[in-house]
Amino acid sequence: MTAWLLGGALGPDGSLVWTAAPWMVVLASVVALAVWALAAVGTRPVAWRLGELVALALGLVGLVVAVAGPVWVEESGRTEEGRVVLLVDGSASMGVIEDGAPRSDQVAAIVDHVTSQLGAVERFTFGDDLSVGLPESFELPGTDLEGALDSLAERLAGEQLAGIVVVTDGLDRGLLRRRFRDDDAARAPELQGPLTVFQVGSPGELTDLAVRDVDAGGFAFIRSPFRIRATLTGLGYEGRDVPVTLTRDGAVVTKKTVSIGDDGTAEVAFDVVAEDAGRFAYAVTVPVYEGDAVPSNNVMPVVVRVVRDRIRVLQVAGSPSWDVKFMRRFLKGDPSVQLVSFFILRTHADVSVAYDDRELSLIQFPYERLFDQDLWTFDVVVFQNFDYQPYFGYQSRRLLDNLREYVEEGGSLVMVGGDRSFSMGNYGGSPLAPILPVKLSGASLDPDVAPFRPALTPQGARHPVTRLTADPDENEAWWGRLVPLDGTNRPVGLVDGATSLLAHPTATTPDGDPLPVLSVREVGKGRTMALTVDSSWRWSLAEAAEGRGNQAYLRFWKNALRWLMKDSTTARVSVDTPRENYAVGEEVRIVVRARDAGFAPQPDAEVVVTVDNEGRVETLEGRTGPDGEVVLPVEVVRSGTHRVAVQVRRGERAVGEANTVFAVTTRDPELDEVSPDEAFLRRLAASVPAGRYHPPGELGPVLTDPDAGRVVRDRRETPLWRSPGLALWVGGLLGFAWWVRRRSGLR
Amino acid sequence: MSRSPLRPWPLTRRQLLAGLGALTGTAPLPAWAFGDTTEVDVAELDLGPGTLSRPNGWKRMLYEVVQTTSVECEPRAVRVKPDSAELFAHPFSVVIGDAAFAEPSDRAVEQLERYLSYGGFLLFDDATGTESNPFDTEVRKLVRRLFPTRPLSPLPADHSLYRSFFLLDRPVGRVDRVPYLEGITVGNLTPLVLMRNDLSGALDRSDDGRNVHTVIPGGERQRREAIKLGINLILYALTANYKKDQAHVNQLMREGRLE
Repeated sequence: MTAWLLGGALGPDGSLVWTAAPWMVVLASVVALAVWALAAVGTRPVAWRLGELVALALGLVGLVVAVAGPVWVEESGRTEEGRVVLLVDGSASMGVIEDGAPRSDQVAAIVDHVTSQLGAVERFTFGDDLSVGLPESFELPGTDLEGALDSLAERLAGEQLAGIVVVTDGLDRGLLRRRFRDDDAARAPELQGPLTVFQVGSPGELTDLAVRDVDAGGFAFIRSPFRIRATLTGLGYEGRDVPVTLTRDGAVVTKKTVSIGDDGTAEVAFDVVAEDAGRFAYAVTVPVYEGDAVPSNNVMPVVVRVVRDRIRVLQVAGSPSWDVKFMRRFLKGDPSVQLVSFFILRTHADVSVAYDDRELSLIQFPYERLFDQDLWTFDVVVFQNFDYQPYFGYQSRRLLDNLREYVEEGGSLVMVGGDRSFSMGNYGGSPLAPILPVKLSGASLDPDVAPFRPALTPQGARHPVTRLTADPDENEAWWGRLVPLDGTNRPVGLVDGATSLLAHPTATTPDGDPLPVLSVREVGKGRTMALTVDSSWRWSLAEAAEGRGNQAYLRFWKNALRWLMKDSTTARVSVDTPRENYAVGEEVRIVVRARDAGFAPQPDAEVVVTVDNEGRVETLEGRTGPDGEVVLPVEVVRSGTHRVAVQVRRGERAVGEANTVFAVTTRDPELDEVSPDEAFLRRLAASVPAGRYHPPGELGPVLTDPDAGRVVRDRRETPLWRSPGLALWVGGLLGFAWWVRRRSGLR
Repeated sequence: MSRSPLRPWPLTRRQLLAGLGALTGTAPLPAWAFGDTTEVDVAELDLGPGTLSRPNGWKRMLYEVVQTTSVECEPRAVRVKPDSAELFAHPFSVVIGDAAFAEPSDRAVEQLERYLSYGGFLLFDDATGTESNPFDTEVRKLVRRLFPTRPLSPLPADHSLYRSFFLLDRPVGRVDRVPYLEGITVGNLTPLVLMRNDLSGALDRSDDGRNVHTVIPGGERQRREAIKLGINLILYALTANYKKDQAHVNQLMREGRLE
């Protein structure tokens, strides 16, 4: 009954705790006192008055006590046996296939063994971090044993453990293993209990052929051999020969056979020559044999950025002239150009009986070697007033076909005017006619020899070749004040798709269009340019006479070379990524830049980027900012080559397109190395005060500390403020006081 | 375009041969130069008393160039003041002299300096044929003003000028007194050359076509060598160090024409 009245049994060792805030008690007391004072007012017999006020006072006191929140607190403690925790490695390396089954299959037997020995154990999974429970799958991307032990220590707040059991293959990617490997004096982290290590995975049962590393040196020079080195690992392949394949953009470049050394590694080097500049995706591949532990690491891509060391230019001139001299002077003076010149110093018509050939310094024009073999090593070929027929003879068609093919495959050709050029050089109807920017007459057309000052066309006003200065007005003024030229060849028109940049101010084609003087064209993968004058040298020396130096000449030809070389600065749209090679999970920032027709930044253009990862296409969209640039980030989740294609539009009008490529390495860092590290695990167990190592397959005893335990405290609280006894006290006394008051005639 | 009216012959040997060769389809095409400045000619710098004019000598040299090489020339010599902008239309210029001449003005020197810097070529031809004379002294003073930090120095025997068309051992003119040419070399180009054996004296001829000066000591054989030097000078002005390109050197050495 007493226990019921008090809301529970109160032990003798308990203590009373008042739980309410003091201000609440004070407030309740003041209110109770006011109520009691008000009740005292009024006339009634003394006995009734006394009875009412005493009952009211006792009731209000009970109420104030209830507000003060009395709680009866009893505390006691006990000591429990120490816990054992089981840490299981859940990383991807535990999924490596050994002898036909994943390494992780060995985990269940160890867990059963531990629980059968020790009963209940607390189970955790670790990778980069620690989580409760056993792994559902073995796919975690990292292994940090030290981090897991630290997390465990935080979680247990200093509690002494009876045992720590670690089940792993020892392929720790954190600092602990590295420290053990690099420093003989390295120590294990402080543990809260004895450590038992069960190793899973056995190197003897593993076969894995892998491309471990590929190094291409970052970049290479065009047409200069560069070396792609690869390191192979072949667990279980020691002493065996394996074929290694190098591919570029999916096509086989070369194959080699290498022998895996006794240490399970091999090096292979491929000497490669890139014929083009740009980014190229190479890949080193080894076969996937049956039983291979990690098939995904048998290929590794690498993107190589091929840059030009120097632009190789072939200048062929039909005769020395001032125009030839100044062109050579410009090309020779440019350190980025490697020039090979051939000038025809004497023709059949110049043979003089007065001089013996031995007196001459002339050499034979090696046209066959140049246009049969060496042609492909040049970036730009300049035909400067060169008539091919007397030299090429019956081989003309074949050699000019070579030149046409060279351009269509990415080379560049410039034809400069003169009395041996264009239709005057019988190029009309030749294999070169279809690739030139201008249409040529089949018959030789006499030149227009009246001096003239070429005029910028609307396209020329915006084109990078004819942009002598960034400001369009200043550029136009500059062209307008250049000295007149001496005359021009007469093409019969402009080819469809070609662009006229400079035109004759008065002369016209048979169709009535302004006679093109400087025109450009894209042909296949290459570019051609036609300059129908042989006096552009006047923009150098004659300009110097006016005190303006030779900047107009130099800038014009420099611009022309850059455009012919497809220099990215001459493209209206460009796309780039900060690096060529990335790892899975990294963010790739795709930077797109767009320029308007005047090559000023193109703001507010619609940009569509497609990233094609071997058939899986992702599309990104954006808009260029005021600087004509937009950065579109993409997280790469799959390995392999990623080809990026960009289309930029402004309303209905296409601004341009651009492409690039980057590679995502297939090498999952977790699978970079798959052979279990027994040495690390042995040393780990040996470096702690109490440690034991069990090799794979050995289900030995778990090391425990019988003295480990923990104190568990019990606390029992009985809230007296809501006890039935107190409620009866307050209710009964206040009710009695109310009844007496009414009986005495008051309300 | 019509040929220049200054051309003294109506049909060149090349045009004749080209016309015949066209029948076989193997001859070069007829030569057309686009305008006056495109063809090669000679500008004689007029530095006043002390300097000479021998236009017929230069015409003869240019004629030989046309006959022997593929170069298109306008066989003429124009007289130009050193401070005239017209100089820049003639990238090959000469100064012939046999006596001291007045120092050119600063403006003339500044223009000559610009001319040579931007691609012009200047030949000083000492007509005295002596080793030391007032013209030579004035030339050296002028060269010091043009190139204060680069002295005139003998051109090495393997200089491109000695192999720009003919393989030459020594530079002879009307006389054969100084066995070398001198020049100013900037980088690997020599825009200024001093000839002290009177080249124009060996080339000069009267209007009726006869040689004006006797060539000593080698006679007509020496004159022939002088003409070859003249041709080489024009070819060097046009091609600079082209003959130093590796392809030429290798082949000439293979054929035993160079050591």
